[in-house]
Amino acid sequence: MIDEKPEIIEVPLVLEEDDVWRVLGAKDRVVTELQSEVCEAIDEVSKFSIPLAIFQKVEVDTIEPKRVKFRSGAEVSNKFAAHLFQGAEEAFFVVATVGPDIDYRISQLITAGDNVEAIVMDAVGTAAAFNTFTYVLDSLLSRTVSRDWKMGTCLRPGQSYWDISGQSVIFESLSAEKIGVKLLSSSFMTPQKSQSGIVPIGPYLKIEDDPSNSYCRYCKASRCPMRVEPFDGVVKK
Amino acid sequence: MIHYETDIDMDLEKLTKYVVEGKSDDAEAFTIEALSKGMNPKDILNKGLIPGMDIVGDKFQSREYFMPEMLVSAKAMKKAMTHIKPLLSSSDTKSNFRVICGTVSGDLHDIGISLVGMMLEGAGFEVIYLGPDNTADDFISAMEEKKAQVLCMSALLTTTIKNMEITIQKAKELEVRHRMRIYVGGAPVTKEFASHIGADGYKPDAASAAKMIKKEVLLSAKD
Repeated sequence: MIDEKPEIIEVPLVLEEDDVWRVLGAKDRVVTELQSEVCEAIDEVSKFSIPLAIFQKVEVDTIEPKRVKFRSGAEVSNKFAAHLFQGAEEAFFVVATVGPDIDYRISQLITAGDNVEAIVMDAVGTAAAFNTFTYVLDSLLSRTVSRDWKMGTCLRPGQSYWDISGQSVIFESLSAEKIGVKLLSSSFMTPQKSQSGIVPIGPYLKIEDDPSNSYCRYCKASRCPMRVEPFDGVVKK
Repeated sequence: MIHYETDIDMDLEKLTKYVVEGKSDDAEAFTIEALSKGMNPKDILNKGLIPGMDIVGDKFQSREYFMPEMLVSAKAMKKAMTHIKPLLSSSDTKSNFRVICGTVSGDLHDIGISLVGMMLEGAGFEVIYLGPDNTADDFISAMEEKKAQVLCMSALLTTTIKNMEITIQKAKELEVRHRMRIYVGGAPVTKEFASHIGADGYKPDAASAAKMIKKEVLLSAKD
């Protein structure tokens, strides 16, 4: 089988106040004195964000103890990734973004000395990017399940289990510039409110997970406000 | 020259409480009233607002407060400061320490450093933001030009933290390192790394960083 062409999708942005409170570290509670800033920033981001995603399905070639090789020539040299890929036959390479305008707006606010508003806007942008990426994963999960295949945990460069330099594997395989996302030499993505990852799939995938739930169980960032599950400590890098 | 009353019957602890609780309208109203009664703006700042932000920093460190509480307190302080700032004389401003804040070359994420700057402002420092992506030359030129005493550098990624060391080395080469205190922070930075590259200090969060910087800078000023 030849790797499929990349697909671009427009993502409907759904952004709730709760999503932003969680990014700000106030999960399940509202700080009323900050509520007007949060609501205004959500309105603003909803107007000027352009949520897009690009993904491509690639075939897995070999899975070695510390490395996964793809037919495209890409490879992930990571013991943990190799573990999660056990039984995978294919993978989705994914990049999603909410566009560049949020970056400009945050920069404007900081320059104006409006740090509180800038930090709130940043949190809203992060929540928007997170929701955009989650939407794409949900959509990929539906496709995968409809084939009677299983989908594993999304591997994301920059988490504690995979160094940020892993971004290059994704960007060398996927033309993310088609949705306006570039990878800088520092491994930063621009626009900053973008997310990327690789998702293993296969009929006999050994590590099953619901990717819309959590990859947090593998991430050791204990104080991360986005954490939805504790680190289970089972899988070592 | 403006004459300020020294015996105003207003409890500055109330203002401190408004800042701690993030009551920005109350903090602003209190400040306007205190100024209208002739209270010295420097007293309002040093005895009312700054102690409030100190308490907020402590509460953040002890995990009693989280980011939103810190933000509403900063908002309260900022609202009060809009009335105080224009009244502070240049000599008052000069008595503050000046801090340059920015992210290192290649690093675009400046939210963390703006949070540190916000807490430093709350601690009474004058903060100058350089924004993201600053080379060693950018930092050192700004330090010299603004006659700043403190440099705070931030990096989000493992790929960019090396630029902190490059900046410190450059300051040494130019023989200006002794004139500045340099603090570093960001997700991949550790205490060991900070020590290894010759920084003066590191803390894992904005509140404890501001507290450490204030303490160390005041101590070094006494020497």
